[in-house]
Amino acid sequence: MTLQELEAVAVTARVGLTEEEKEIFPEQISQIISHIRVLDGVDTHGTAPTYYPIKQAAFLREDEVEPSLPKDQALANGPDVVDGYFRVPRIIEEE
Amino acid sequence: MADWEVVIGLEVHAELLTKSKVFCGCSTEFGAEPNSQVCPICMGLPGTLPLLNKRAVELAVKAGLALQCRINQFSVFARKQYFYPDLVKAYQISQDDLPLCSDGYVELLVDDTVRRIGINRVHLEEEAGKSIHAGEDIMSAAYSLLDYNRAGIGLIEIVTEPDIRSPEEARLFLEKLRQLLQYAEVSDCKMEEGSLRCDANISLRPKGSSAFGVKCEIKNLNSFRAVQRALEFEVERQKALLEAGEAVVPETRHWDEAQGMTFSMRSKAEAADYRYFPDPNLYPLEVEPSWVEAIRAELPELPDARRDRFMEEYGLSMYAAEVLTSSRDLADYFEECMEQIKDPKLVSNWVMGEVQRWLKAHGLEAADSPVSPKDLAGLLQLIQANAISNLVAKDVLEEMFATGKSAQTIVDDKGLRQISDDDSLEAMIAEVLEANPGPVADVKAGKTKAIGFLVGQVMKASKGKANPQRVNELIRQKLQD
Repeated sequence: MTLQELEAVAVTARVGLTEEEKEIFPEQISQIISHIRVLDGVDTHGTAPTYYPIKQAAFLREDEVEPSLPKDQALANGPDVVDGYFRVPRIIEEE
Repeated sequence: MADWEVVIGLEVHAELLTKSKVFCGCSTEFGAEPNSQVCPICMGLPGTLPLLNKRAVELAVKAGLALQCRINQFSVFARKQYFYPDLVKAYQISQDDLPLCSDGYVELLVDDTVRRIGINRVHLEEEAGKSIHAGEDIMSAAYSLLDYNRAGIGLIEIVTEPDIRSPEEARLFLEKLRQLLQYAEVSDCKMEEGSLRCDANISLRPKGSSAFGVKCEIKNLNSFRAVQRALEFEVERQKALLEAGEAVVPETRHWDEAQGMTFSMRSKAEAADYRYFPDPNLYPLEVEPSWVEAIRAELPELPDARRDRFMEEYGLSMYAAEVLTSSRDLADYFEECMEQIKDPKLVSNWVMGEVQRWLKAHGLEAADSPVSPKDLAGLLQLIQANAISNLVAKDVLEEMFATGKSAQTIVDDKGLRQISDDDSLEAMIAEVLEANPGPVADVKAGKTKAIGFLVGQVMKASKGKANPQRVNELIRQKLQD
């Protein structure tokens, strides 16, 4: 993994990187990837992909309304609450 | 100058008509106080587990069947990951490579030709929350307010093939799609309330070329008209770029309704890579064929079939059958009225004409009409019995819409009953003939056109209550014998 790729992944995942991490991560992550790459050698021809490790179909619930959280509790963790709404900073990037 | 072919594909989201959300029991009712219909699951608090709503699956399957799709027995929920304030968990539970429904189509009548628009897929997912932007719109907002009542409501995403060839066709497709989803009672499809939303991908290519051009995605299309207008604008914008030898930039563009233009929209959240992977909190969805058949049995007669039956059974024209089946409510209204009055021509004329006019004027759907099909039948019976003229009936219907009274009551109260007895009519005719010697002479001289004028005068004198047919006959007898 190159530094460029590392920075791209970090941006996508919204993860901040220190200068030191930028130094050591490309090498470390490359090692992890090459370790996992062993699996590329396995012949999976004719094997259906595994989407879930257990053979079990989704459980379903009936369409019934249950009580929601009291509003004060729902808003309790909001750092910036205005008139019952969560307030967030500007969404669109400045030109 | 090269001739360009327009290539459009749509992504449509429709909210499902379930009482509770798709993965939790919170209510889906529209218009509640902000953040009053939320719980730890739809707010994405750690340690919670989603539990799938059975009815949401049924409605998504119903949509798939109405759109002629294959229903996949095995489908998988996946996490679509991106950062945006309306997405509490920073991922949306959606479906990726194994959707619930695939490979369907919708048929449209465009300029008298049947056009088949392919449906790539219909998948089940969850709604995001609702943002209210401070100021004019998202582009200028200093901050936004978030309400998560909508977060977690069941949603279907319908993706078309790039088969649409004009902005008008895009609008017609959407109207047809809405009609189908409303018939099937999958979604109420109210664009103004956001329960039906549409994004459009559009590109141009030289006519005859099979390769696709560079496409743009258009967002913020809040009405059927906006879809057509935005795409029309985009066709011209892209054409101008291509003809000037410039490239179209692949990007997301925001439709500005007031300015009638699209603008490039760069969002902080815009991530090229959604990093889908199967949601480990949800087992794969298995839909047995027997369940699909039970859901199919729930489907009502769909609009095209109903239109064809109306033509066959009631002898209606294609046009009349189309209008009457445009919504399920209106078609039901017509048929309920037909049960009382077995005169398709009379009923269809009234339902398509005056009834629709007053529904529109009062901003109502046929199902909410203050004049029930039975009430309308009461009015039409009075016309059939020659008790009132067509003209008077129109006024009576207006009064019925305004007051909710029955036709019979209004006619009795206002003394509107048609005058058909010859004695009364002849007295009125005598007066009119005396007052209009000129036209009388004309008729006697063979200018039969003047009869219409004289009939009109009698109608006027009777305040519309005279039976015009009988008046006509009596005048002819008097002047032409």
